[in-house]
Amino acid sequence: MDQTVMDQTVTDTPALTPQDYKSAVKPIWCPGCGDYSVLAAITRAFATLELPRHRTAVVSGIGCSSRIPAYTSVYGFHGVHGRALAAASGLKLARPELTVVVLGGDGDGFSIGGNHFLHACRRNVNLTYVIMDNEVYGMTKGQASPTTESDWCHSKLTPHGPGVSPVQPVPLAISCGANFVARGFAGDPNGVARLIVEGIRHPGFSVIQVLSPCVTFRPEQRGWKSTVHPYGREPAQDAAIALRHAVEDDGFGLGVFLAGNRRPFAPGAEVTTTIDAIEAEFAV
Amino acid sequence: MTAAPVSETVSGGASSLPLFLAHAVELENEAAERYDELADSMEAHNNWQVAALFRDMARYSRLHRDEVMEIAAAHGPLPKVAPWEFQWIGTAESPEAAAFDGAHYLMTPHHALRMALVCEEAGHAYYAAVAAQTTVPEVARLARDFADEESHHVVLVRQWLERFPAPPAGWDEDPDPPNTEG
Repeated sequence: MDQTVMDQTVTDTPALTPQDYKSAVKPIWCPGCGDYSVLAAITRAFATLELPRHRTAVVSGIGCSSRIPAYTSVYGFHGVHGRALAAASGLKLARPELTVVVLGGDGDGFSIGGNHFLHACRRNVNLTYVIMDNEVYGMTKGQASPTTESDWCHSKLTPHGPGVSPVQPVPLAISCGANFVARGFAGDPNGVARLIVEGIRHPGFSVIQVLSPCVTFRPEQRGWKSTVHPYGREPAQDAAIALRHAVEDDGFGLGVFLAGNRRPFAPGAEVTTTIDAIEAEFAV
Repeated sequence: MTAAPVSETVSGGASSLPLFLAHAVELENEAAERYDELADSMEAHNNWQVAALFRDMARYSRLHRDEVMEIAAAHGPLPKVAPWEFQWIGTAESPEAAAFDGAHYLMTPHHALRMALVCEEAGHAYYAAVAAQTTVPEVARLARDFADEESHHVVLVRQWLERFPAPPAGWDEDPDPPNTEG
């Protein structure tokens, strides 16, 4: 963290621009990768919300999209594969004054981190989770992920396709208890920025699936720009209604499916022990 | 919420001078950011010639942005507009933001200039449409000026393209391609 970030704590600085939320580290994604636009959307959302950089943290796992903490100038944690939600939950509960945004891909979120995803939804900690879904493991050169179609056969590991139905992130998040669930498209970075702003503002666990084309291993995803369409409904407050609408959707509808009213998880405020006492138990 | 509607007929920038100037600044901001993203990706793939070209485009966009901000300074502070509230014509982002999915790691200056040409033409179309729609005289005058400037850019890019003709077929064939069969 550079000195200018820390200076915000003591000086009255002018409003930050999206560029101010980018670090000096340049992305190494493939040309045409949708993740560039998601990074732009994140920084635009942060600037819109005027988030102080020293009170904002981005947490990720492993994968192409999980590199984003290096590319931002807020606090960041690039953790181990699939564990971003666990790390972020701990951070948010320990430091509730922080805005915590979790970033990752479909493999990190729904395979290696699938178990954490289920329980993050039902726990409903006040986090925003942005999943860049390209339906493939890109960093390891193109294997089927949990959201890959069952008949996608362009990997030597699954020459006849995965053969199983893909995970549907939006219905899954709703059914597991997430409080805000939306879908965006990397080809519309301003639309994604809007979803991220709404997700951060909404109390509880917000899940935003962003269709983010992998032009190297799924070049046909360039066609998504003509496949996506507005979801076309107002967000439901009732999870049962949102779930029914999400299941009826073709997977390319963009918008907010659920804006629920569950109370976010908060740990009990009562202190029952001290670090010294815990350490004493382990002393040999 | 549903996805933000894409304005097909009316531009928010036509309604008042402050909003018009805010749109003009954002038009160049988003263009510069996209050109920088493209330059970054080309540098990461050692396509230095195209990277330099995109970096130049980003610099030009920022120069134009600064020119607009100088004009705006005489008219008070710009209104704060959320990124998704800008009303372009037929697009959900700045008409001068290059289509990121048109990039390829082996693209040549010809392809980059083709992308830039599309952007400049879209910028000209936007300002021309605002000039035609607005009922605010100062907006009309500035929109015509900016449209003229964009049409000059179109001419410049076309001249530039003459120096970089289309490469022969097979320009994207890589003798050592990335492993696309995982």
